[in-house]
Amino acid sequence: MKLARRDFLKSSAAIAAATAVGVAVPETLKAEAREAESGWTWDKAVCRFCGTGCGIMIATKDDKILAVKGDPLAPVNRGLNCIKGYFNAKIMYGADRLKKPLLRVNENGEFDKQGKFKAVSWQRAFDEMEKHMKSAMKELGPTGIGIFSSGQYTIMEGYAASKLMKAGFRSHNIDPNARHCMASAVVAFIQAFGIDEPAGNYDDMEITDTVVTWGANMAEMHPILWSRITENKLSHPDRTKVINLSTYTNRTSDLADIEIIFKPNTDLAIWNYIAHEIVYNQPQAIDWDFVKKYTVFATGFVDIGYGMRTPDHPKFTDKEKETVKHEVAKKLTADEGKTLAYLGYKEGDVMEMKHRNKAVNHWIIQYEEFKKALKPYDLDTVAKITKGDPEESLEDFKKKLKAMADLYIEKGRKVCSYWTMGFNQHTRGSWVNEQAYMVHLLLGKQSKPGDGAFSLTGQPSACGTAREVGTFAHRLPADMVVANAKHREISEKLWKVPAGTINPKVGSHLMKIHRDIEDGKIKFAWINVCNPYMNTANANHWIKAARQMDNFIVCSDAYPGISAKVSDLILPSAMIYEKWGAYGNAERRTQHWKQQVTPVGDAMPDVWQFVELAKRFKLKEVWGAQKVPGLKDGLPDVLEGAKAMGYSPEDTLYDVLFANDDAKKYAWPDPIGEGKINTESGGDKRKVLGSDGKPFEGYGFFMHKYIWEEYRKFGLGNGHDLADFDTYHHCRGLKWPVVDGKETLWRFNSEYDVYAKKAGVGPFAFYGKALKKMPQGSISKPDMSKPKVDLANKAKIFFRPYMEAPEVPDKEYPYWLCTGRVLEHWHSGTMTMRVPELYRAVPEALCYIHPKDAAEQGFAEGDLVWVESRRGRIKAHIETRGRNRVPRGLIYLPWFDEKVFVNKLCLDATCPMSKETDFKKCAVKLSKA
Amino acid sequence: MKNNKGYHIIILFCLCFLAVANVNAQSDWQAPAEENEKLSPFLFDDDMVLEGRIAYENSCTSCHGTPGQDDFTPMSPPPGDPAAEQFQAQSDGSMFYKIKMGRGTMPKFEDAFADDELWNIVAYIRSFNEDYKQELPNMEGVVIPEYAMSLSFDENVDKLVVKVFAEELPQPEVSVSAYVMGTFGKHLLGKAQTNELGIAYVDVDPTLPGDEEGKVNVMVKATKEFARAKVEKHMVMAKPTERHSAIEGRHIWSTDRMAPIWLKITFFVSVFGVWFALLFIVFGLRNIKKAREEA
Repeated sequence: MKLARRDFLKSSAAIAAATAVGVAVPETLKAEAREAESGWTWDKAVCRFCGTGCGIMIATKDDKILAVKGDPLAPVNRGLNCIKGYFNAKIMYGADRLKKPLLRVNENGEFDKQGKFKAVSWQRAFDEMEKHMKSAMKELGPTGIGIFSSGQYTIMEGYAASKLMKAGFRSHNIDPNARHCMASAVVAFIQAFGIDEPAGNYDDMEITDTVVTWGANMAEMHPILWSRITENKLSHPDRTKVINLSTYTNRTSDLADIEIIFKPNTDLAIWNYIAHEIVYNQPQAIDWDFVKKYTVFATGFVDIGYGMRTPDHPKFTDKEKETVKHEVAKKLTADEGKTLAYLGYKEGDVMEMKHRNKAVNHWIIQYEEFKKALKPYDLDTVAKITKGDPEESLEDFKKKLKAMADLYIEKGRKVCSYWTMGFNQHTRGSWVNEQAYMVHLLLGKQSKPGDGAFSLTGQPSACGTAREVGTFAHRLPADMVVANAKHREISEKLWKVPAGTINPKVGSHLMKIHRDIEDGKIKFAWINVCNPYMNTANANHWIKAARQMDNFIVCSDAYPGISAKVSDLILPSAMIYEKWGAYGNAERRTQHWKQQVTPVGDAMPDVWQFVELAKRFKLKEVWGAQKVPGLKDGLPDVLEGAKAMGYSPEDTLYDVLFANDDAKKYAWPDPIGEGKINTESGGDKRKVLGSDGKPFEGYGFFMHKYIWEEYRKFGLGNGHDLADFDTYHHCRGLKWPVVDGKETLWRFNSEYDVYAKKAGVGPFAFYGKALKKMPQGSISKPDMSKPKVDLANKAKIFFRPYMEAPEVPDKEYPYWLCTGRVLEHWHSGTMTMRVPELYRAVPEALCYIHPKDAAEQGFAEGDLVWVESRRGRIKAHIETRGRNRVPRGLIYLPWFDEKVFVNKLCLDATCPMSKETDFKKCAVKLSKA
Repeated sequence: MKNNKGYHIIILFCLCFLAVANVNAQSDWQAPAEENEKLSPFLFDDDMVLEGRIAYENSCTSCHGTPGQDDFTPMSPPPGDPAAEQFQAQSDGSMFYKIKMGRGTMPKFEDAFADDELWNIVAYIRSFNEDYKQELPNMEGVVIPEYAMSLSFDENVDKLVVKVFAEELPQPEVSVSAYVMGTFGKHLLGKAQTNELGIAYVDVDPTLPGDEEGKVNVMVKATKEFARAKVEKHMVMAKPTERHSAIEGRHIWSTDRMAPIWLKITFFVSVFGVWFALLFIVFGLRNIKKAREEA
């Protein structure tokens, strides 16, 4: 049997597709496929892209990836992939893949900030890093350096980076791009439940009767999960209802029974309307047994600002000050006058932002006060505040709101609420997350199969790495925090570093790292697996600071994105299947994969980069007394403690943190890695000249297994239990907590969660430990004279009011700008824009605008227009049709395209609690280019 | 011959008619009463006259000629000499209105000149009238604020930022006009009004050519009622002009970027090769000639 190459591919692709949908395949075709695939080695792995965490199968031959297909055994996607998933292999072989370290040099080959990039050796690259890091640390202390970390790190990379930074360099200036993505969800999880991450799992999508998407265009951003919801809807068209809440019509609306287009930021009022409907009109719907036994009511301050810098900052332009002035005081609008009346405010009052530094403070209130605060949110008022499409009639809109509330309230109806960036990227993102739990907890529809509020993640390991490992400025692994002395002590013991090593002062969050660089407080920054100069709002500021000020920016990347081009040194990184790794998805599922191929060029894995850098620092250089701004006595000298532990001041961080006796117990080769490469542990065929100029032969021990086994000690017995390294290589991921080899399906539910059962307080137990001793108070302030309440095993039902965004459209800037993603591209497009098929599908970011607005401005379809905000201006082509249909007065511009640099326009206002930027709202004007 | 005579009569008739019509046209054109009474808020000084002269010579001379010389362009209706009695008999307000609004072949200068610039032109025209005495508005009790201006460029949004202050207080609703000064006059960038913070924003075309550093000479005027101020600044606001060598490229000679060695070798080898071939032929011809002579 002879087959042409094309037939080869066709037959194997047909088999893959047929298997995925469960179609029987003729034997002849199967035989063709077998021949086509002879010599291929298939292995399981995880998709590189979003937080869904789809399983994929990868075929390799001659050290190159040849094919990718959905993994039929993966419980998440059951053999399906989305358009990006099918191109996982092609992202690795783009024409401009970075293969050598590149340094900006002058004509004499010396480093020069204004110089041009030239290929250098790894040794030279580490020499420069060491030099600039040491000089920054000498001048500014450990906080003079920073790492832009990532929710796309493998778990091992995140752990290595975090350990090196927090235990080695004693700095917490490490914060992931997950700050832009998940931080608001985290604050709400910790405040409401005392522990991070969702209670439910993806099975809810099939079990539930009602799917409500809030600011989540799942059809494009979580297509595989949407296919599971679609299956539910189409199988039970009468029972299952789908509601899409959004600020514009998108593909998710196509399946929805009810579509609610609301005005940006008014989701806060819509939740309170549902609560108002429950509390005032249908109080019998409240599950009082559940509410009384497992919850308390709580609230916090409202005058907390918008996470911006105060307007006196010298780097603000006058245009910017028009908005930033609201950070210190804001005149209340008519709507805010109504919704904040419970605090004595009225329209026209100026609210001084007095609790900017106490945004996260909250206290326990009584149900009567909670009820009183909900009073203004009746249907008429809320409909007027929230209606987002000026062309829709108020009566129709009211009917839809009422129908949605009724579906939530209906006794016996299972309801799941899903959200992503519409909620999280919000100047009141933490509030709106908490409001979702408010409604679900009031109704007792939480932590049950088919019932619950579920935060979808954007990145492949926002949960697994960023959150669980704690690569945040304020976190340590397993939900511990740096500000807690006990947590530091536990971490120091597990990391085997002397007491007092870990800095007690919280570091700079992502937005603040940028601001610190602009203020000259950080002079060395390292970018890992992210694109912070493209993904951060108000980009003009940060790019200018990086290029024009005295600092040294290093970027580890696979392709030259904007961040790489802004940097002074670029390090070529190995991509996902060129290294061993693990990701944790949105439903707490941890999935591992093995290295499939040797990295291209001289690219090296990020773990290797951290470990090699650790070799350049001796204990005496970092563990002596250190000054830290804002910390009175600075950091103590822990060298004596180190000596007592058997370390010498001449030891390097590599010896202590990565190549210690524990690590060396994990031998490489290991049976689990039979037939597989491991660049870090055993080197590879390239013999890349390493940081010492000699061919790199591997560390000689199983680095990944050591990191994993050390990391999982943090979570054991704390509700964060993970299985051992080898187990994950024999299954398609497990949802933590994994106790006695069994994963947990629904947390806090005694039927499914051993921790809840162990608590012994009945069918539920919200056993999270954080923030469980809270003060009491009135609706407006805490009363410290009253004793603190112990909330063991209880969740909090928060009241949070409606407030407007800090920048709303006005006469000069009449349009809302909403940014987001598209199905075909991943984040900033550095990978997917290099895949010809994906590039051709969506080659450019288009500005979606209502046809009547376009006509009013004199634009024709496809015209090039200037989009201008107070912070920048860019050009884009307009689109009045297509997948996103925006209401009048709003435009939508995706951010994947570096040619249409939308973050130059966005406002860097954040939720003051989570510090997550609101990329969904700012005011712009349009003009013909 | 008869035809020719008729032709003359027609021309004569037309001229007479035009003359009548012109006289009518001139005397017909009356500014509205309130405009007529409008007075210049500025005292006509030498500075104004000079500025007015520049504006006049750029925009008015082509039709009105040099004032006092009666050398205006013969047009219909005739534009007239501004130094003439007929012009000078008008009020300042009337002159101001007519230049600003135009009529028929007289263009409308409203968009080209700010109010203060129009007054400059009036001042210049008045400078030819020795009997003229400027009538000033009643200034009793009027305090004219002294403006201080600062200019900066917001490169994020390509805007010239003009801040107008008086005694450190921001001045709202001040009319601001910004110009780029060139060798042969000025180019209007735009006009704007200050907001409640005393800031006016003028859009700048980012492709405007500047010097090597992207600097241009900017002149900004601010006026409001009787107050006015002017500021000039040499500032970075435009696209830097890259000066290229006139003989840019690869060269074998010159101090510019040198050609690669392989090109030089190829060049010299081919040039000398051609010379060699030519000489070879010349010698060959000479040898043939010699051989013939010998034979």
